[in-house]
Amino acid sequence: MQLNEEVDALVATGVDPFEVLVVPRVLGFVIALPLLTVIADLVGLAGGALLCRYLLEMPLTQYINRMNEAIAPTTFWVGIIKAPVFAVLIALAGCYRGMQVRGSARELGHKVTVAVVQAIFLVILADALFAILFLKMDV
Amino acid sequence: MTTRYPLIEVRGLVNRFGSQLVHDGLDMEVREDEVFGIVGGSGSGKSVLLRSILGLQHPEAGTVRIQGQDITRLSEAQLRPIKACYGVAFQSGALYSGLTVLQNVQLPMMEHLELESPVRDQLALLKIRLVGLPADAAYKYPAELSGGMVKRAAIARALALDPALLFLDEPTSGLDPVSATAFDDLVLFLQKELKLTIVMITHDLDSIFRTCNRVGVIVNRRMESDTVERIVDHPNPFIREYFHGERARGARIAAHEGATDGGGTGADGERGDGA
Repeated sequence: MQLNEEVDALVATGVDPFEVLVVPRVLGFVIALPLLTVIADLVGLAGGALLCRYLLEMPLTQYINRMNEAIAPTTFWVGIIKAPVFAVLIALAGCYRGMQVRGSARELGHKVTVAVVQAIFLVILADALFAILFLKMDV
Repeated sequence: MTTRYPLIEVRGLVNRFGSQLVHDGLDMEVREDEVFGIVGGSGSGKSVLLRSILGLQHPEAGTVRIQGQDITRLSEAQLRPIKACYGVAFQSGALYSGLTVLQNVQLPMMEHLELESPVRDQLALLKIRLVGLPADAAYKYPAELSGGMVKRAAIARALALDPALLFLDEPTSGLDPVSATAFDDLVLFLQKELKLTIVMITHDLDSIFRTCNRVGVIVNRRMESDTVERIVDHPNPFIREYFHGERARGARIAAHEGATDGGGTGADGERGDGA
């Protein structure tokens, strides 16, 4: 954002704003989102295990056996492959709108909303494309 | 007086936003070792002029030469060495809020110089002391500083690469009279000690009379520039009103007293004495 001419200050110093503002964010996201996916997967499975154990009184060993049957390893890899793509989309949407913020705090809030909505839209769109792709590849 | 070549030379600058013509054939010349004040009414395009000189705004027509090179025709890579020879202190400071003052000052060094970290620390602390900030301010974040300190920190950062040229955008705006006077002293001190050429946009008449050698007034989308003592008698009605209005009188008297007290710290005899 450039509420106080910070981006101008970067350019005037000869620093490329894209290099110091956009690239680190995109890279950070590309690394963080797959990790987040792994954590989300683990938490999801742990939640399922707890539910089965206490609500359905299914032993943990049985849960793990069934899980191996029900979930193919490709399911995990599909998630890991999608994550960096989503990360790039979300980071670029955020940075693109962030760079457009001029002058006021109100503008900042507005652009955040726009960025969030557009990021969600892009992710859904990309997810649909992935679905078609994986269907064709028969995974 | 030594022969001076123009450090900055703007010729026939045209800037337009939509249908609004901001500059129409503006000429400006800044010589070495002078303090050049850019003056003009609100909305007359002072900041746009500065942005054009800094390469942040691409003019519709005209040339902007810094040290003889036309920056409007240079690529970003070719501009890098030119950008290393000037420093800019923006109006609101434009400090990076996520970095401490010390890190802010070091950022241009990291971009342009290969320095060991301890050397960089020492150098940055030197700049911070040079602009009159207390040493503990170095480790504070911009949000923890007062308005005057932010402006000083911005100058410290602008001086990071030992530039020959310093741009100041309204350095005394938003400061109380005492701080503003202290700031003028800082500008004079830096000009004298570091042999800087300073270009400053200002509305502050006290500042103009105390610090500037020459003044450029933006009128009717062009610039009229002259020495301080001659510009006040310019025939243009806007310029006359600007320098002879109610607010101007006190500033000229104050500057005159300062000069006769021997308080004038001018590098040469061109300081305005308002006579």
